[in-house]
Order: sequence, then C-alpha cells, then structure tokens
Amino acid sequence: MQYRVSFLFDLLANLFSSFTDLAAMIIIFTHTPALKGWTLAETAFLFGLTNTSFALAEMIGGGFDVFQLLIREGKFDQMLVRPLGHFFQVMTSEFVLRRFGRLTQGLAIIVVALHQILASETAAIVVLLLLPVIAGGTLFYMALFITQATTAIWTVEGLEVFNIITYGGNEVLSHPLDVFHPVLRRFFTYILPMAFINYIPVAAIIGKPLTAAGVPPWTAWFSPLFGLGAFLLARRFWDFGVRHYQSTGS
Amino acid sequence: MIRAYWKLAKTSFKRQMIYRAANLAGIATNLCWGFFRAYLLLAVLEASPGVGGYDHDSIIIYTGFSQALTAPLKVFGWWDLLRTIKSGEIISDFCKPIDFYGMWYARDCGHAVYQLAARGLPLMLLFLAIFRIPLRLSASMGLAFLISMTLALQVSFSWRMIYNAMAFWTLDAKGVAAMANIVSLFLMGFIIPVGFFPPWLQQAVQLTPFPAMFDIPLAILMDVPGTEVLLLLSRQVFWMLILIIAARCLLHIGTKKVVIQGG
Repeated sequence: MQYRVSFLFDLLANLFSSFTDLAAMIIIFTHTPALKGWTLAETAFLFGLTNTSFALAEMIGGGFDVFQLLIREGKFDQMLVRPLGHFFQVMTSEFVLRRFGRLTQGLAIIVVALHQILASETAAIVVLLLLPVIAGGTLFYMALFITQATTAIWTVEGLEVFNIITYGGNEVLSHPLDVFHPVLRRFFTYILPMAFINYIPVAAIIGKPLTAAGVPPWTAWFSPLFGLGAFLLARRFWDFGVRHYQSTGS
Repeated sequence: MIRAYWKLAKTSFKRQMIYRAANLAGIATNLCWGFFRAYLLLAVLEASPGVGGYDHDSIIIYTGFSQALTAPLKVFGWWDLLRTIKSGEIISDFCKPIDFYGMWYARDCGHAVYQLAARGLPLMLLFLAIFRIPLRLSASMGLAFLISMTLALQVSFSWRMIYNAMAFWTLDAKGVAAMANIVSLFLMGFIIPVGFFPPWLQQAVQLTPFPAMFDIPLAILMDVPGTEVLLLLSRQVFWMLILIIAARCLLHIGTKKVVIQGG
C-alpha cells in the first residue's frame, strides 16, 4: 500500500476495463429492448454475478496466477520444505487487491439489476439465495485457475490457451447463453458446466425457460455444488501435480 | 541509417518467431473469442436488423478483423518504453546513434509484420472460411486497404508512445497508460463497432484520432457503398502527422528532464 497513487490508477484501470464491457452492453440494448428474451437488467444481472465470482476467485487465488514465476524463481521449492500446506502457501503468496474494482462493480450491478427486476420484498430473499451461488461461482473459477497453474508443473508453453476458458468463459457468461451457438451452449452446460455459475440459477430465479441450457429447472438448486465439485477435482489434480513436480533446479 | 532501421525491424520480427507455441495458442484464443463475439453481435443483428449498417457478412468480417489485429495493435497494452524509462535502461537507447522515435517504430513494424503474417492473416482467412463469407476486394480497394492498414498501425504506434512517455513525469504511469489504452480500444470500435454507438458518440469519436487506428481500414475492407476512400485516407494522414508531432514533442521534453535513478 506504499504506492497510493499508483494503486489508485491501477484500481481505476481495472474498473475501467470492465466498465467498457458494461458500456458495450448498454449500447447493445439501445438497439433492442431484449436479446433472445433477456432485457438489459436481466443481462446485467448475469454480468454482475459472473464478474463478482471471477473477481473474488482472482483475489483469493491470486497466487495461482503467479505460480509459473514461483516455480521459475525456485520459491515453490522453498514452500515445499516448509511445514505448511503447499496449496495454502501458493494461494496466499499473492493478494491482488486491485481486483477490488471489478468486485465492487459486480456487486453494484447485481444490486441495481435486482432492484429493476424484482419487487423489494422478494429481492431480500433472492439475495440470500445468491450467496451460495456466488460462493459456488468463486469456487468454480478458482478451480480453473488451479488447473491452469497445475499444468505449469509440466509445461509453460501455450498456457495462454486456458484464457479461453477463464476470461472467455467469463465473457460468455456475461451474456444470456441463448445468444450462442448450440455447440457452445452444450459445452458450457454438460462438458464444463459453467452455466451453473450464473445462467441456470438466474433463469430459475426470474422464471426464464431453461431451453438454451437444456436442463430441468430443479437442477438450479444444485448450482453451488458444481462449483464445489470442480474445486475438489482441481484440488486433487493439484496434489497429483505436486507429487510429480520436478524442480527446475540446476 | 536505413539499414539500421531495417536491422532493428528484422531482429524484432525474428524474436517473435521464438514464441511459436505462444503464437499458436494466440490463434486458438482469438478464434474462440471471435466466435463468442460473433454470436453475440449476430444476436443483436437478429433483434435489430440492419443495426449500424451491418449485415451477417460484415459482422463476421468485423469480428475476424478485430481478432486479427489483437497482436499488431497491442490490445492488451504496450509498456516497453515505459518499462525502460522506469528501469533506467532507456539510457542505453539514448547512447545509440539513431533517432529514438524511429528506433522504436522500426521495432514495432517488425513485430506488427510478423503478427499480421503469422497470426492476423490466417485468423482472418479462417473466419471467412468457417462462416463461408466471400471477400470481394478489387485491386484498387486492396491497395487502399494496405495503405490504410499501414497508416492505422502508425497512428496506433504514436498513440502508444504518447501514453508510455507519461513515465517521464511520474513513476505511476502504468495505471494512466492502462486507462489510455482501454479508452482508445473502446473509442476505435474494437470492443463494439463504431456503427453501434449512439449518434452523439459517433459524431464525437470522429473528432478523435481513434477511428484512424481501426475503424477506417475496417470500412475500406468492408467496402461499404459510398465510402470515400481518399477522404478516409487523408483523415488518417492528418492524424498520423498530429500524433507524430505530439509524440516527438513529448519525447523531446521528456528526455531533457529524465533523471536516471540508481547508481
């Protein structure tokens, strides 16, 4: 926190980058009242949810983002000899406070969007329902970051491909799934069930048909479990990776 | 002198060839990202036919073009000059008997040419092939497009030099530079086509250099009826001159007062 001005501009830049996405969305809805049956407020609700989860996962799991560097500098070797869990040490090795910008924006959008969509008395109940949904989404994104980091144990080449799923996934989830090609929809529902991060629970809450995802509405109740499941799987993959870790050492 | 620039550009070009896996990963990423964007924009088109003067084919051309230019336009920001100012490495560049702006421009050209040939062109062709879009470009329009593309990258380069030069005045320039980058991306129509903007914003944007970096070559590539190519090109030349002067002035003033930190 020593570099206050620098931090402030970093925060602003971070806020700005998701702000332009939001501006693009608002501009899109100046041309049409609804996109495949989803209004601006409803789409913004999706946008706010996925960005909140994404920002939380980035803040909590920031260490996985720099894991490549930890390996290269030999810091991971130091961690392995310490009497503390390596998973926890890597996770906490970096805390990216500047993601706070995206987080506050995400939360603000959720509040505004909910205010537009629902009556205030039901909104309170929905907020309670949303907490496990956000937690599940955060775990899901963390699972993706962990998987990406673990892969760095074997190779550092072409790891950018993972951005398709992390950043790309966030981009897709920022819009109603209905706009995308059926192959993409199925991918994000059945193969990598990221639709449970926001689309499926939101559709269930505001009473949209789930035809785009092709799952029955009751599955929405289990949305957080998909995040938890992904996280546990990623955690096991991490342990597997660490067991096969060979230092870069010379 | 020319040979020195040529060498710089060639080295920069060759350096890109080392990152073959990264470039392949880049193509895959751009392809997927392009799909996401294309379907979103096509859904907007379906909901509001003829939006911004676009149709199905031109939406795909727009998406392919924007993905093809991700690397040459340094969409995720470019901080090379800023970094050398901050680290003090810049002093070794000052010692070189070569024009400072020209040196960086030569490097930028080498990078851009490689990225266009190895990443941009294959991407554009892939998009056209996958969506089966015929690209009808006459020889003269093709030539105009090439000129416009060169001008666009030149304008983009000067703009990047300007926001990097902020580092001469403050050590916190990275945040300012990142914001300048994001604002320019939005206003040049990279995130959403300029034609989609509300009328007041479209008019305002025309008074800025940003369309000259992206929207003008795009308009020539799409060959919209009634496109006045010469007018568009001269607008690009106008902004190129303004930004070159601005960038050079900033560099001139900045280098006078630069203090290298450390021993």
